[in-house]
Amino acid sequence: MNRTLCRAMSLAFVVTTSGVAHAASDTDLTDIRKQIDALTQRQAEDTRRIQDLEAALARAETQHAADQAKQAASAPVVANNAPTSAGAFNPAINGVLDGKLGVFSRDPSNYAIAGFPLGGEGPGQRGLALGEAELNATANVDDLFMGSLTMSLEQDGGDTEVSLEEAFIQTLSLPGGLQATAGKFLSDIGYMNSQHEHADDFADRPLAYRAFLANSFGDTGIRMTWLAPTITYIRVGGEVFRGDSFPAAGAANRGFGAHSAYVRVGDDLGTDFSYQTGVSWLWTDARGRETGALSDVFTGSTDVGIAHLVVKWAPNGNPTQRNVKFQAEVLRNHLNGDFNGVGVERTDYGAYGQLTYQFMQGWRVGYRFDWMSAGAVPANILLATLDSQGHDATRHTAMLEYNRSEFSRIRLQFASDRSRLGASDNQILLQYTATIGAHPAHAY
Amino acid sequence: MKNIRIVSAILGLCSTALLSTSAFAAVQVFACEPEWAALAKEIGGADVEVFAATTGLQDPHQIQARPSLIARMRGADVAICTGAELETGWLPLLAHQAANAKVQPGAPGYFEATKYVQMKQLPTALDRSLGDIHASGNPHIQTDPRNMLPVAAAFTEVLAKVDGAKAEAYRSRLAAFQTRWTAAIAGWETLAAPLRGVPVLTQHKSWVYMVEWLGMKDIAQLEPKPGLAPSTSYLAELLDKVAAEKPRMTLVAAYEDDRGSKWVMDHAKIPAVTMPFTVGGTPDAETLTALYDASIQRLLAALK
Repeated sequence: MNRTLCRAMSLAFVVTTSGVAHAASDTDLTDIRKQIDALTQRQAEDTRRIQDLEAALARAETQHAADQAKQAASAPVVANNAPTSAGAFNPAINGVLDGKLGVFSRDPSNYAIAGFPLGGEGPGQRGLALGEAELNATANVDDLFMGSLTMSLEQDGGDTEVSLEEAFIQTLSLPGGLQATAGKFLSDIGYMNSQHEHADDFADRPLAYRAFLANSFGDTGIRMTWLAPTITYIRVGGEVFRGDSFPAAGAANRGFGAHSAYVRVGDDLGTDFSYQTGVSWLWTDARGRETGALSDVFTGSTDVGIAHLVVKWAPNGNPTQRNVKFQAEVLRNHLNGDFNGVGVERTDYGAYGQLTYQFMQGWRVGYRFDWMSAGAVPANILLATLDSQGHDATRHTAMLEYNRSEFSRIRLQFASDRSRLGASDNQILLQYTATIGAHPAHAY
Repeated sequence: MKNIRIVSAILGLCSTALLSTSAFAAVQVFACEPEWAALAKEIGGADVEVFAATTGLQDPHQIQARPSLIARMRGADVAICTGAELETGWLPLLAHQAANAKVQPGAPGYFEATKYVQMKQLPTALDRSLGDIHASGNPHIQTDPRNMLPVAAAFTEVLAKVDGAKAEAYRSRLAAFQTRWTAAIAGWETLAAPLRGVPVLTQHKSWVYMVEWLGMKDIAQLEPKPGLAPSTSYLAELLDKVAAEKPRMTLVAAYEDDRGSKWVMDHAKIPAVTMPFTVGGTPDAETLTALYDASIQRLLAALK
């Protein structure tokens, strides 16, 4: 295009100039010759200039192509032309929906574990019931912090109870393997305490968790952990809590009512096996804690020690089709204080072991055994709740589940529960759990 | 007293852990998948120490955030992963739990390969009823060796930035790799000429990049929806539907359940080809070059 334009312009210039020459007289021939010579020279100059320009253009074109190629090779290809908007910074949000159908041979409303004051709920409700609906939002706050907010909504009769499960910030880039967490969060003690219940392998928590931790211990506090710079996973952590949650109560010690320490170790054993094990301790103080239908009041200290072991197996370390998970925890509970005004000091034990097997993609079976043993207390009507009358609570649980995808699950669970004195409580639970929104991230 | 005992036990463990720490001189690379581990070794040579988080026999969609992976990420200087939500179920968890500033998303040491290639199969609709789809497009870019070139170039710059003293060594290894790789691609294309236009079935949508590179025709997937295992009734229906197109083989990744493709082989005489999918997927694919050698050899063998 440029070349054609240049030629046309030079031609026009020549024609115009020759017109002038034609009008001139013969006596000016020499002058005209001179002019023609000058014109020829100018035309030659123009041609050279055009050639120079053409060469420059060709160079520029080559350079441009090279630049483009280079850009294609190194610069990010924006594959997703999503429009930029404020919404692009929205956190990952997911909701968990849960519903149950329960059949119990004994009335769940007077559920108890012999010898233990319960801080939470029992095995569920008869008939159709909605489980906890959970809403979680997680995002990086900036380059130093991530933040997470989890709310749970629970239907209780005609009312909807909203509770704050977790609301915390956590550092992402402290040096030396350190990580700090602040806010309300589930304690890292034990194996399953920090796990949200919908990620459990059974429809309800082990009896020991139910009795000693009201299913899980979570409170407002600060956590500091250190991850060792080793190939074997070693994490050491310590937490300080306000002390408002069972087994603590009343934010004792001027609002530092509970603290914990733990160490976790884990690794792979070949390609097929991996494990995680650990020891944790939780020290709590309770001030005027009320539990149960009898409104038992406790003031004193409760320490919970936990040892856990989890071993997973998958052929070639690929759990998609088949995998096995073994999980066991032993809990030791020591309480010392005034129970309904009577001084008590005793040690209790609880343990469970469970095995789940995914035998084909989507399908899993599992078995769990629970055992509890309450320490002895003097015969006193005020200590009735703590008196197991020599009964060690046990429970056998079996489940079968179908996972259509990572986002949905239907589970059928049978349990023979001897938490209470007397006949065993036969429980059947049919449960669905579904996750909507962002992909859930489940810890090991 | 009890508290003191526990605290001293913890301190004891800490000191054992510290003693076992070795002083790493080489750049520690955490590679999410074996193909990126192999590529990192090509560019990094002896200046890097590479850990592959997964093997060719593991489904990269379904990895658990195992303790060993958290520990490895804690010590990484650079993380090279696929991105495009392939690792969405485990990598964010590792990043949070390892809390290593060097490899947090956005840090200079965090690298996603899919950012540097033209993505295929960008979904027009995002709905989980469509199965496990990826919002950023099909992440299985390593099935086309041409994608290794832009990824290698971009990753070289990451290494050059993180380990500036050896930048020139990385760049010269890249240049050597580019020369060798360009020649290798030409060789593979010649070798694979008979595959042009061959209609194939695939287990999962893992092969779009390879199918397009070699000019094959991807007719259908055995999975009814991405991530869902096929049932025999679905497969029978599928075979009826595609009979007219005469598929010549079914491509299955080594880590995938091969029952569906075996059923197709038994009922429709369409051979199943176990593909390495990534480095180490099959015994003949132990290196990055061998991955494509083996893939093409296996496809050609099925054609006979």
